[in-house]
Amino acid sequence: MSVPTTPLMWIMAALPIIVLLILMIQFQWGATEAAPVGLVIAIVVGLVFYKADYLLIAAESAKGIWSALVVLIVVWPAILLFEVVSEAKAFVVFRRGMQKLLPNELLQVIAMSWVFVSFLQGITGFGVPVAVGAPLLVGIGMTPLWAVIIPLIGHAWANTFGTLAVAWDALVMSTNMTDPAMLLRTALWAAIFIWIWNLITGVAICWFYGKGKAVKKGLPAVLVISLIHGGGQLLLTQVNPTLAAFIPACVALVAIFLIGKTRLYRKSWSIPDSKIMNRAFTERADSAGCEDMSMLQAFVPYFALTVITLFILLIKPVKAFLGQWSFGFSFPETSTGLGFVNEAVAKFSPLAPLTHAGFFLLAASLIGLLFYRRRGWIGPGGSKQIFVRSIAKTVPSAIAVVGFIIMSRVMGGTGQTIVLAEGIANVLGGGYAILAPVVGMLGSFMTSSNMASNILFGQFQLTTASILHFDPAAILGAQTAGGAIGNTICPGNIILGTTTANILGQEGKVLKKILPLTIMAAVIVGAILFLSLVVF
Amino acid sequence: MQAQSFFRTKEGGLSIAGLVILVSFPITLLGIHTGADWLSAVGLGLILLGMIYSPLRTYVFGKRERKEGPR
Repeated sequence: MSVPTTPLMWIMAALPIIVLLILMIQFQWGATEAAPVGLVIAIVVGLVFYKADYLLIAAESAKGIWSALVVLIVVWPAILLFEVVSEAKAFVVFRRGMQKLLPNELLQVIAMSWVFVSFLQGITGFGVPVAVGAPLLVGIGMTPLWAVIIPLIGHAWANTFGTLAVAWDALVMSTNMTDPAMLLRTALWAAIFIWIWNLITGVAICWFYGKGKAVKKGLPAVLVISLIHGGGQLLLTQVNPTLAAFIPACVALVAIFLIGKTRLYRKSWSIPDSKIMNRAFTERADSAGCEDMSMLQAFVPYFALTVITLFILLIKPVKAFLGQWSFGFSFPETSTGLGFVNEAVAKFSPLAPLTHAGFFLLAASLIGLLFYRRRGWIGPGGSKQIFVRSIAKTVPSAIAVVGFIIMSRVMGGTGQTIVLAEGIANVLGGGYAILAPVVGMLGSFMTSSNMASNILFGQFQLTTASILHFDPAAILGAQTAGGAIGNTICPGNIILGTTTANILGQEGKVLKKILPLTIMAAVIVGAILFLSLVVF
Repeated sequence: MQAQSFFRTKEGGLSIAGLVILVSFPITLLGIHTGADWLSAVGLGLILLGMIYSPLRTYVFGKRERKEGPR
């Protein structure tokens, strides 16, 4: 590969992202309108500056559509699940039940937006935690905007070792990491950095709920949960990375309800003017119906989701049997005029439908629908309305998801993404350590996936560490931690959240709130890395 | 009549745009696998057409409609 990493090429590569951010944050364009503009710019830059031809662009666009379809088969069933639960008025019951189990409203918020979504991330990724978490939070009285923001922050720490450590495995594979000592050290570094982000997450949630007063109230609970999440993950990465996020997430799910029984949290407590809660909604919801539905019955679709997912993913023979049906399309090798090569692939991004998160969501939705209909909580005509509404909500977000993913594929396939990362390394030299996690974040932002970020930049980070004489374990740990943090701001996840929370078009507002926090977190991780590698 | 009204709305337009993008996928793939470059070009064109519908509708044609007002 001989793509020149000159300032002009770097600026051109950054242009689609800069324009995208300006349109969404400054001008508040929705993702459906902004993504196509970013895509067109990326294509023009690819053709003019990176000397790609239209056939390469066409191939990367086709790959992008396929990758987007794999994401969209999560979006629709996630919306379907929400519509099923909403039609049965189970959210009202859920809310009342949460108030009885956890009278402290801050603890309810922590339980749903951090602990529960982390549990979901522990077992299945693909944006499910945000897609499922956002409407649940609306259901307990959070404003839709914050119902998207907070689970985006809450779930991200579990990205690397969650989903049975698929992102971690991708890092190991892409860097050919075989030395056991190196594996353990890298995992340790990653877990340390991720713990820092996990703690920031808990404090940030309290802060958003009610600033200093809420932080003071919630800090003991945050410290306990973070110890379980971050500390538990750190210990388990040295034993079994596959379950390093899942087990702590399960333990935390039990712990939060025990914390709710302690003297500090067992009484009713809330901040009446909390900016993240919709008090008008909560007052109306208290008088809504469904008196004969219990909390357990309201939660049936989510129990089904958990059981199905665990059964299929954790039992290896079942996973192997169901996973044997997979399909993907082949693509030939393509290259740019500057020598950047995209290798041929026999089966691009293969989809195994029966072990995919979308299948689990669909199954859970149908189980919920049948259950609620049998009990009379969904009346005649309700099923049709559920399907019609879910399809109507999926279509607008589909365009945005397709746009972002094609844009990332075009940028990756023409060499723009690598130039961005190389430019950062070339300019900073020894100071690169500070921005190593930002490279991981960039990868997640571009691809909407910690796993894909590790595949994209894992080898690059390893090579850079070698050139700069840095500890590769620390750099790779920062790469995957940055990738996890980057899942907070990735457009794919944001769109999933805004779609299921029914505020599609407000992606810019979400990004505006989250971006400062994630950049700050990445810089803190980078600073610690820099100090440990360069100074000490 | 109702179907006509739906496709005149933004949601209806987005549905058509989505279908155009979906249709472009097999066309592009066929062009890639058979070496028919013109098919790949058609597929790419359809992708771009489907993608730019929304910003054009919202910020170009939509603005014009709002300026001219109801007829």
